Amino acid sequence: MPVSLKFLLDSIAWGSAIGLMSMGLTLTYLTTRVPNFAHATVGLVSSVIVVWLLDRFYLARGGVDPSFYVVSIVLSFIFVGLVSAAIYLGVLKPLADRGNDVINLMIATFAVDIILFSLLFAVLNVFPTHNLERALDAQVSGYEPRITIPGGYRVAASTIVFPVAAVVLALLFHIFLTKTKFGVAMRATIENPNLAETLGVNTKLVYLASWFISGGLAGIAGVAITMILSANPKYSALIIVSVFAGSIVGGLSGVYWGLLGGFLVGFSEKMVTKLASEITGLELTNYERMVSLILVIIVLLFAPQGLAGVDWGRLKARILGGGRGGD
Amino acid sequence: MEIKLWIFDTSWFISLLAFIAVAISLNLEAGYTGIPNFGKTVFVFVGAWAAAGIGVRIAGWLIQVIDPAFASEVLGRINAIYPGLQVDSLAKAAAMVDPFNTNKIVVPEITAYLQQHLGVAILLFIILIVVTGIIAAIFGVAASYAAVRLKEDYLAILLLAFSEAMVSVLFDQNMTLNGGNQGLWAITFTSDPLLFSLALTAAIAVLTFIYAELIGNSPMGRAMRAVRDDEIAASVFGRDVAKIRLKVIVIASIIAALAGFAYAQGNSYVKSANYTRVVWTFIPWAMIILGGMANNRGVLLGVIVFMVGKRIIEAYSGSIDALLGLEPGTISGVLPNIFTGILILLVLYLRPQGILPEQPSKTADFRKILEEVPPE
Repeated sequence: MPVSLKFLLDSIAWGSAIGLMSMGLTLTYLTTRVPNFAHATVGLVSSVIVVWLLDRFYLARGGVDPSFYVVSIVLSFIFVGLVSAAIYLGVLKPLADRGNDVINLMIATFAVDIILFSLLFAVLNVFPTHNLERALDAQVSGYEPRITIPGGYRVAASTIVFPVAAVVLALLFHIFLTKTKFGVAMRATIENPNLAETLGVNTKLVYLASWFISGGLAGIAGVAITMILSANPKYSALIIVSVFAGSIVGGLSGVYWGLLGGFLVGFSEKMVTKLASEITGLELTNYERMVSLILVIIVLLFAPQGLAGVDWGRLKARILGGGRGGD
Repeated sequence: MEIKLWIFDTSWFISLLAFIAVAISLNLEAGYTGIPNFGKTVFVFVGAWAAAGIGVRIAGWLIQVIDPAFASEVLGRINAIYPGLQVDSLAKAAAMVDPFNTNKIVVPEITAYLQQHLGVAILLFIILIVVTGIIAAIFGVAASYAAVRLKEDYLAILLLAFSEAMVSVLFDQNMTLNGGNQGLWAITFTSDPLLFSLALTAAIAVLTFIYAELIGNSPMGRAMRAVRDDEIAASVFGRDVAKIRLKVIVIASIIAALAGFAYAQGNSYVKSANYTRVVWTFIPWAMIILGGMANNRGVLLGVIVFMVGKRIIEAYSGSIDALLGLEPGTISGVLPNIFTGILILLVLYLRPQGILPEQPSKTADFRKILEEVPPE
């Protein structure tokens, strides 16, 4: 086998983090029609929470235990969700109400990105640490418990935790959308906001909730990325390429497609560069983002609707060669 | 030559002029045509690359062809310094930083040679300007072709992804293109690179402004506004929306790359990590929003106001760190960016049309047209 099981698990973990980000991005795009260029930086707000939890509580107690994952995921979901909702309420909604078009709203998210990035950088830079040497660039994975996998490798627990978390979150979100009244209202608003409003749905609240959930999902992804890489907002500039690539591959038209697209992009970033390095003998693993870019270009050229727009039944018929495939 | 007016020095003036050209080219895209170019950085960087990674190679090759004796003398000296290397091509030696940094030896030699041979310098300059334009046009098409027919959101995302993947991944990781994360010394033509860069950026800024004013009031300018305001109406009236978008992106990319080329002349050292999306994408956007989209005079004003304000903040925010007892740069390093972000949001909220709003495009006087048309 050209890649080890450890590498496969790492790729799945990275894909899950990008998938959660793309899922949130697609959600706000569907409700408020704004591509949020600040999305990756919003997610990395949770790096401050991770560093704070690690430094003040877990390292003081002697190390990271399983409760760390639960606490950091829940806290990040709530806190980053609130940050995201505040961005919508404080910045985008007032601007949209003043009649700004989508280009102006995009540049507003760009502005939010720069402000948030600078603030995060400053906060991590001056963050007073008790147990860590420094908050900026803190290598969280070094303190994680290790799990032994078949083949004798030892992987950080987050490699297992976050893919599981992504699946659980997708299931919870599905239950929320289909079984709760508010979830149905959200789907109705996505389908047809005017009609939903006429039927008594509070669309403004739905928009706000979508920004909260989107930020929360990005926050959980941010925890994963902080653990995989380190605590530094500079990664947002790189992640944003993969996240948008994931949303475009998914088709920007369904939340689960966003999750799947993001997962595929994140997973293939790792896999394609690794396999290409193995085959050519060159060191290509640093060119991960080029894979995302190529995927985006291919999808936009040949299937601009993304995975969501592919006629799966027809494709299956064509591949199997039977029946009426092709018309 | 060093200019110094209060806190404004030569490199500030070079930046100001380069930003005028870049912001006006972005205005052609975003203001007139509605193309949300969030990948401006890569086009400015391409110009700098033409001066460095490509420029040193072309210069090395050209000199080796014209003056083989000089080339072999320089190569002999390099091979004496690095006995393990044994390089026989000046072009190759000019762009190498790893494992032997021959770039920093060859470029001063070439610069000295160009100062003594004016003809070669002029020939090289013309070649590099043309090459800059060609590469910028290719990058412009590559960065947008897949999305020019789609909604503007897709175009924005593709341009951003292209720029980030190119500048901060491909050019940063690949050692051959432009010295990777180490960067390269660029070709300079005169003994006073700052003055040369100032003159070149000034020329490009003035020409760009005149060009943008002319195109804005031409039939092409009206077609661009039509594409921005209503794609469907524009295509109903026979305008090829995708073609107009591509054309504008190519033109604007060439202008931005020429500005990047001229800017790199003064900066001399070109490293992709120094071309961040904050500086070359976000700040030009801030300038055109502040000044007024689709109004070239407004953009000019926006650039000047922004650059003066930014310089003042940079000059006086240094004392904040000391005041708070922090290391230099902790707060002052991020303060200009925070101010820029807040400025954009405030302008979008309070005056979305900018300081000088868009004017109706100038057409010929209708009465004059009536006089020229013979009565039935």
